[in-house]
Amino acid sequence: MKPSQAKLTTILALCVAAAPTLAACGTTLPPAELVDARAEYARASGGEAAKLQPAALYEAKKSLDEAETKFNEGNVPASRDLAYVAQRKAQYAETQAAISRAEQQFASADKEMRAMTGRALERYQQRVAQTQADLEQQRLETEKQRATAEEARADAEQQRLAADKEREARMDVERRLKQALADLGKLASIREEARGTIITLTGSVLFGFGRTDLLPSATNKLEQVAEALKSDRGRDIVIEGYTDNVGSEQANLGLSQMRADRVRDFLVSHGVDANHVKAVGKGEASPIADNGTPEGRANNRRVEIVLLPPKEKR
Amino acid sequence: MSATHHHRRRLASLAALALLAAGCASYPEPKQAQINSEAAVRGAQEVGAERDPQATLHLRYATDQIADAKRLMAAGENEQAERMLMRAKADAELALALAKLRTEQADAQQAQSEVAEMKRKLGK
Repeated sequence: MKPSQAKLTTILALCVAAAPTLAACGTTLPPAELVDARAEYARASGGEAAKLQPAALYEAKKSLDEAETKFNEGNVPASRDLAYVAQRKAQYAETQAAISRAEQQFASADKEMRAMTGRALERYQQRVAQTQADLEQQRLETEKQRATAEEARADAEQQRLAADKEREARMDVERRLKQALADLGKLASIREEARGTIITLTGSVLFGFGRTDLLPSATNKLEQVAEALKSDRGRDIVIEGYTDNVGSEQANLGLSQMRADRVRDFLVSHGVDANHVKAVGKGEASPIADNGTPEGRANNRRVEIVLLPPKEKR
Repeated sequence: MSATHHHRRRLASLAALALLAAGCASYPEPKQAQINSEAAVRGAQEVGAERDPQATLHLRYATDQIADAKRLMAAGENEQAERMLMRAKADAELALALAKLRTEQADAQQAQSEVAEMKRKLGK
């Protein structure tokens, strides 16, 4: 209701000029629609519509100009309608600008989303690739370990088999020896002592009184002994000669040594390994019976074949 | 020669005046403007202007103004009717833009919240 000073003078000047034809002008103020349209247009053109929607804003401006023209011509109803249209067009321009802004916001959010999902996908793919590589590495290591374990198992099996075979062979040898000794047991006494298995042959069977050469009857017996000893080659054997206490000790030692040597020679000549047989004369030592009786003395005159325990680990 | 010429000029002026008077008296019915306004209303309805309160208001203005324009045409006030139809068209177009704005803003907001959600999920 209170136009500015400048506007008032303009209106007055117009009125004076057009006085004859526009008698009513002096009292005419711009209609509310025009006032609203000017304000709306000013607002729109001061906002982002000027940048984003210049064409739509120009349409509003054209309508506003027409409304102003009609008003100046005194056609208030036409001015009112055109101002109304101008106001709507200004609002339309602002709305279009807001749409543009929303579209920009959408586009930038969309771009950001694409970038994020792209990066996330990339990271995910990297993780997948890394995991696959790790798994492959693990698989290879497991395979290697399994191969090593398999190898070790095979080795152990090999060793077990070898040990089994060795034990089998050893048992076989002992079985044969035991069998041979059992057979021998029929002709000679056999006993087990800590130092080994001892086969005792009575002297009267092997040698004549005071002699050192084998009796013919001894041969058969010693052949059987040789046969038994051959079943376990590699075992150390000691042949020990013993006498009774008749005669000098010195003579008895020599006699027993010679007799032991005879037996040793016989056994070696019948296939017993010479490297493993030793002959020792023991003389009157270690009597096994009373030298006071003829039977006792006969028992003391003897040859003992000692089978030492095997050297191998037991 | 001169008199005849003068006479002819007067006749031409009279004819022009008569034509002008006839034109003024019968302003044509704004059929095209009516078609345009009604098309704008349908366009706004198609984008769902009736789901937005502000758009609905302007759509109401538009349909009311079309009804007013029809009454004015019936009363022979064709010039006024045409201006009423211009107003209706401006309102319908504004309704369409407002409806579109709601959709675009909703889409933008949705996208922005999805971005925020994604950021949260990625732990950034």
